[in-house]
Amino acid sequence: MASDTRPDTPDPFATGRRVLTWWRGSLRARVITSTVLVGTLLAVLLGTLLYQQVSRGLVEQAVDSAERDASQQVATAQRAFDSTDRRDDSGLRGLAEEQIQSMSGPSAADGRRALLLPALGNTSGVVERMSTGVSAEDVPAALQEAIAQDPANQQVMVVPMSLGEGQESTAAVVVGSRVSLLRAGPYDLVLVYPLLREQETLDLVRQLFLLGGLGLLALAVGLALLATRMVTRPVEEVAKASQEVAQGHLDERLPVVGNDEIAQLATSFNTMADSIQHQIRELRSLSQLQQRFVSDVSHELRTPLTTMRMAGDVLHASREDFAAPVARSAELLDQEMDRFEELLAELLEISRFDSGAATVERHEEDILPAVLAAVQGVQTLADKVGTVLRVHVPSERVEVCMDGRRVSRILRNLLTNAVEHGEGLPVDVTVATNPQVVSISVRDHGIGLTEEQRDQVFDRFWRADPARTRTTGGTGLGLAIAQEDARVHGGWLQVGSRPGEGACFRLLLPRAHTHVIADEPPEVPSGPGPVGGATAARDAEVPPVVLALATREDD
Amino acid sequence: MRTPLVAVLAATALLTTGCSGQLPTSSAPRAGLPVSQQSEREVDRLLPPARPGAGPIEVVEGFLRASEGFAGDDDVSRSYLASELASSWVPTATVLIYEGDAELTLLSEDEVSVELDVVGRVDADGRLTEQAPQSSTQTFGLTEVDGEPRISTFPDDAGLWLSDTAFERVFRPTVLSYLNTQEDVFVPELRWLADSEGLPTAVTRAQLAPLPAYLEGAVSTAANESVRLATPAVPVDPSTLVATVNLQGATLAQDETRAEGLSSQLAHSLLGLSSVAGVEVQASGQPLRLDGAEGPIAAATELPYAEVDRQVSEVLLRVGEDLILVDPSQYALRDLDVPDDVALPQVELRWTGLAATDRLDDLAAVSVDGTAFRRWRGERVHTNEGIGDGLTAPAVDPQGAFWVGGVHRSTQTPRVWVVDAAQLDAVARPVEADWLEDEDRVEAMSISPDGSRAALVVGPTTTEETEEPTVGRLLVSGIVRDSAGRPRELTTPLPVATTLRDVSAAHWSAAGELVVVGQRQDDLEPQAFRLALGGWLEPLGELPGLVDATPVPRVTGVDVIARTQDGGVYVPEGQRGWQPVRNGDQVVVPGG
Repeated sequence: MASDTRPDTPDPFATGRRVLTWWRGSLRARVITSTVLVGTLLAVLLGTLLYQQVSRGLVEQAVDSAERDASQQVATAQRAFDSTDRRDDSGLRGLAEEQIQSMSGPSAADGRRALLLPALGNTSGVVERMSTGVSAEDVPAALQEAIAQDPANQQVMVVPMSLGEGQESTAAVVVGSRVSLLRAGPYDLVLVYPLLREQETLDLVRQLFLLGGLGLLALAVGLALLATRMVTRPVEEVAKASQEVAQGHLDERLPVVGNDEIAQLATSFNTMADSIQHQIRELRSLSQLQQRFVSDVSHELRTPLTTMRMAGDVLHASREDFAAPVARSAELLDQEMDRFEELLAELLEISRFDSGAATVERHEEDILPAVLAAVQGVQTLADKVGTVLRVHVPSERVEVCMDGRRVSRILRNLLTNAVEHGEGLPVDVTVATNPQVVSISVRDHGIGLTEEQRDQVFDRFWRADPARTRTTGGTGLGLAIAQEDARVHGGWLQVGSRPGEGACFRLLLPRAHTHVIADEPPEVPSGPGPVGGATAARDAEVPPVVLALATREDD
Repeated sequence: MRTPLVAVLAATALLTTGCSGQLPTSSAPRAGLPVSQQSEREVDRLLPPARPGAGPIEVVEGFLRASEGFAGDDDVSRSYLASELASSWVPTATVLIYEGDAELTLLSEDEVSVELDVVGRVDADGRLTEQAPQSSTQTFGLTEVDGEPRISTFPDDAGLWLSDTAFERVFRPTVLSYLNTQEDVFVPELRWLADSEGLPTAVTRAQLAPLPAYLEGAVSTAANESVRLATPAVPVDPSTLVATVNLQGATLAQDETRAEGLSSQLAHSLLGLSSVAGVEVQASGQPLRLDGAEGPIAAATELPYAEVDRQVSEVLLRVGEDLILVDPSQYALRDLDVPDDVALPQVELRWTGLAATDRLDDLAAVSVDGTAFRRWRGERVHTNEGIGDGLTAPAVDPQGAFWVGGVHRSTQTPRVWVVDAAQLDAVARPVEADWLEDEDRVEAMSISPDGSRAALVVGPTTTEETEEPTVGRLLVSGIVRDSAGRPRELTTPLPVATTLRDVSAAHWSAAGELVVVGQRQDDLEPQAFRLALGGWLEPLGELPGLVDATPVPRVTGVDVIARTQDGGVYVPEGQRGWQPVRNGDQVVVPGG
């Protein structure tokens, strides 16, 4: 059971981000989308080019045949005009009308249409303009002007023409030629060849192009799929194997097939995994050796130390019988014996943690007496350096499932450090709690820690200032043990500090043994000054943490 | 990331513009093929257009002078007309032909009269009617157009006034072709049509028109009302000289006989023009082909119809009771030996007006008193005295039948009979001719070489009281035959040679031509004339005492043998002279 205490605000770009994440996360998706995009682009470009060529070719062909047909038609018409035997207006009109009629195509749906327009400047008005199946207004003025300028040649245009009332206009080849209509003067004979058939062909071509383009696209997708599959599948296998190795399954290996690049990769991977496995094995045995050495040394030292202790105690008890220098030596011997004992105990404790032999005995009990007892324990030292210990605890009981000995050891360690490095300024001990977690902060207002010191503060045998006067004679293992103690509770021990602002150590423990604090909790806030204020208020709050079910059997 | 985006945008733009689904169009015209058929008409005579400041008389005079250019490209004659008249003026509607000069008189500011000696008239169909020179006054109405006098109204009965010389220049005699009902031969008909680029069109138009009234039933034409020109023009290709006749007709493509007849008629008529070397007849744009013919018809010999070709190589000369075979090709009509298979009879003097079939195996004559008809066939003779009175000299038709005119014995009305060739003793069958008035008398007859027309000289009844000399009119009538080819009826005739006040004899010299003996208004004695039907009368030269002129069709043309009252037989000499060669009582042309 996880509880995310962060606020759940809706994100409008969430989908886009997810897609982008997916796209960035999948080589196959990237390859396929790129192939499809580039393929589409190329297909469109090529298709467009071909399509334009085809349509241009169709039009050119139509223009060519229209020119030839018009040439013949105009010759026929001119001969007919020349060979009429009537010169009166109605005779000429009838002739023109019949001629135009006979030049129109056989069916209304297609075939040529004809118009007879008085040439620009012909005002005789003997024969008015006439047309079949096409509107004279559709003929561009430029055509008649071009005929007027160059009457010896046909004038050709391709323009959209309306082929009847209410009909959609369609592209048509328009061929204009100059004819002479006896006494009626020059006329422009305009023949219109609708490109209906060409349009149909073009539509068909477009459909074929679309189908072909889609087919090509499908082919490109298929090829991309195949290619990426060939490449990414081994890569995925490598990734999977790497993940397995990363998770500690060092025996994972890749099959080597053939001698291509993938095979080389597999070989390299296998070699690397072999090498890593070998080194880890070595390291592990070295570490075990070291731990056993420490443990063995500690145990081996224990017996002579006991003897030495007993002898020392005897000497110490009878020091008053010795001369003053000898008595002083006996005292020093006793003191160092204590330190030696303490160091040995801590070394044994550490070696227990390292060997996984540390046992935790957690019971449901109130944590406040343990806190108060720890404070009480350092009171003498505090009094000696003039430090005021300020304790802020809730009024009611705070039941925590814990190993009281270990928690007391943590608190003692923290309090001793706070008093030692508190420069005589007050030390605040704050206990905060919520239903799941309890937080105990020990804040001093001493010289504080630099960032580098903060990172090393939990390292074994590390001291903030080696030159410093040893009031309590710390071994340098206290905080390392305290951190291990917090960890075996499923909790966290953190430090927050800035130089000159003191340091705050915070112990976070889950209240039930079924929970652990899974992720690292937020940073410990640094305080503004010795009087507390806002920091004290922050210390009195449990920071938001992510709890997880404990998987480890601690008891 | 930017470059692919630009590429995608460019591709989209291309896609939307390039594959828009529309054919590309162009906004500016560009030059195409050269227009090969430019109008290339020549102006052969430069006629002056209306001159600014001209008075009414000058305008009418200028119009008369310029009107011969009506068929030209520039057609300046219309500049003399007010615009309304210029628009509607159809010059060929009626043409008046005059002789000599026109005399113009200004009647008022808007009227000018023109006095002309009219000698002929051509109607809209191109039929020429010659008339004796007669003075006629034509009044033109004028109106002011932009301060200039212009002709606004024409005299009622004409549309074009041409001097005889201008007429010869501007109009061309053209021959239309009709079809004989009995044989596959053409029957020609002469028309006068304006000689211009439009001549083929005019010929075609005339050919497609209905038959003239006097030929209805006698000849046939494949044209009918449903057949017309698709475009009112018959263009002639300038390089190949092929005339294209594009026809429209409901049944033309289905009716092969009609299509063949029509193609033949049109081709024959058009090939007669010097400007046409081939004829392509189309029905609704599809060529009509004659059996076995490819491409345009280039010669009359390709046609299933032929021109009537009648040639005579021997002529009978009657001297007293004897018949002598002479050679017309010889200058002095030298005697020929009678072939063995021909038996020429002795013809007693009481028989006159001898006629012979073309093979000389059948001869016929009438008695001097006109009451009896006799036939000789070899040794056999048959006399028929019961036909009628006042019988004319027999005429023979191509079928060998003899035609005689006369008077019915009991009703004293004019009749025409035909005696069939088959039996020597065949009866004379009357041929219906309702149009003959009771007082008409048939005085001479001749049957055209194709047997479709008859030329009749018809005069009034002569009574002993009247002192006036007989006056014969020449009529041409169509012969209507029944399904067996026997003559049934003579159609209402067409008067021809109306300038002759008296016609005494007429013989067909060819299918469309007669040789006539008659007197013009001013002639003192009868003269011989050649008359192309529909054409001008052409005198053959004066010969005193002329009684008959017989045409002899020969390969080289038609010779004429003239006979005078005193028995002299003459042949032409030079342009208008006659040369006496022999003596005889009658010249008989076999089959004529």
